[in-house]
Amino acid sequence: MKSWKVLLVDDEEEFVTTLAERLKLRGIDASIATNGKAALASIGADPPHLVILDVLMPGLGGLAVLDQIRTTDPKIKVILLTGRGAIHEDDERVPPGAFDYLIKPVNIDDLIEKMREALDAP
Amino acid sequence: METREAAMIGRLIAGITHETKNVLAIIKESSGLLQDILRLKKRKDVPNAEQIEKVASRIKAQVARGNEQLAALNWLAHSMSDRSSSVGVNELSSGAFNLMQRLARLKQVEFELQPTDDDATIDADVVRLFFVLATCIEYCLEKEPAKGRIVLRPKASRGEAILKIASGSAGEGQATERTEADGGPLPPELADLESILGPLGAKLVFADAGVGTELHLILPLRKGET
Repeated sequence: MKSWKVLLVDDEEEFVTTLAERLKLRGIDASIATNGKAALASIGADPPHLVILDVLMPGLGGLAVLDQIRTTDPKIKVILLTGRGAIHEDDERVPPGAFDYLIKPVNIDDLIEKMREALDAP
Repeated sequence: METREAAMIGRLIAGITHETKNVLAIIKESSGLLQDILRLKKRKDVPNAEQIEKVASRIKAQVARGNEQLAALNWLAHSMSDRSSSVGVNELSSGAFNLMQRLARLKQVEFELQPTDDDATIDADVVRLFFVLATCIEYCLEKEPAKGRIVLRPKASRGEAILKIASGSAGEGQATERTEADGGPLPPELADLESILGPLGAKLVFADAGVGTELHLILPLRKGET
């Protein structure tokens, strides 16, 4: 787990800051970005193994960031986060390029388990 | 309720509940972090009192934020269930302002409310009034580019409430007095509000000020109020 390098992307700065602190306490190398543009810059400068990506953000949204990651570095695993209470029938498919999605608020143990699954996946 | 009104209210409820989930997510992570820190203490690791204070403050701030969001939603829900037929100019403005903050944030537009010092009462169907005002704000937000600014400035004067929504540089300075004669035709996005404005005794004046858009929603005040 110590070798995991994870980028958390969400415009809710306090959410990603706190989550990053908790992941660091568990030995995970977590960094943050609070908008899509900053996320892409961070990925370009220091590619993580995994990106936890909020779908709905001002400016460049999560799905646009996901498209960019797919184009530039498809090896990076992406887990989407959504604040929606439920996923509509139409949205049940995980968007291409994403490993899976989680609904906020998320349990940290569930998140870490999902991260493990993503990083173990081929 | 008309389909368009229902859709607007649905969008607002979706936005506020989404925001509330963000608040809960922050509270959840913050309380989880406190637990993490306390577990470290059990392992003889000295917890950082400053860090605990910071996290506790974060929780308090998020509870206040969540409370504001729910209060705004509660105001709208009560207006609907009580079929409220009167509202203060400032109350109507702050209700719309609080409920539309998220949309402004997503559009990356600064949204400011400048309440009036001379509050007064409007006698009309509050839900319909809210719908008209929210539609006007939504229109301005849609037209305003990212990093722009929208100002909602209510005013009560000479038996009328004037709710001015100004975008771009039109939002600067004092409220401009406008009458129907000053306005141009309503843009297509707002044209079908006409059928609601009449029964409310309201008028909507649209002006493209060159430096931004101005919308003036003009409503009669309760008789005897100036």
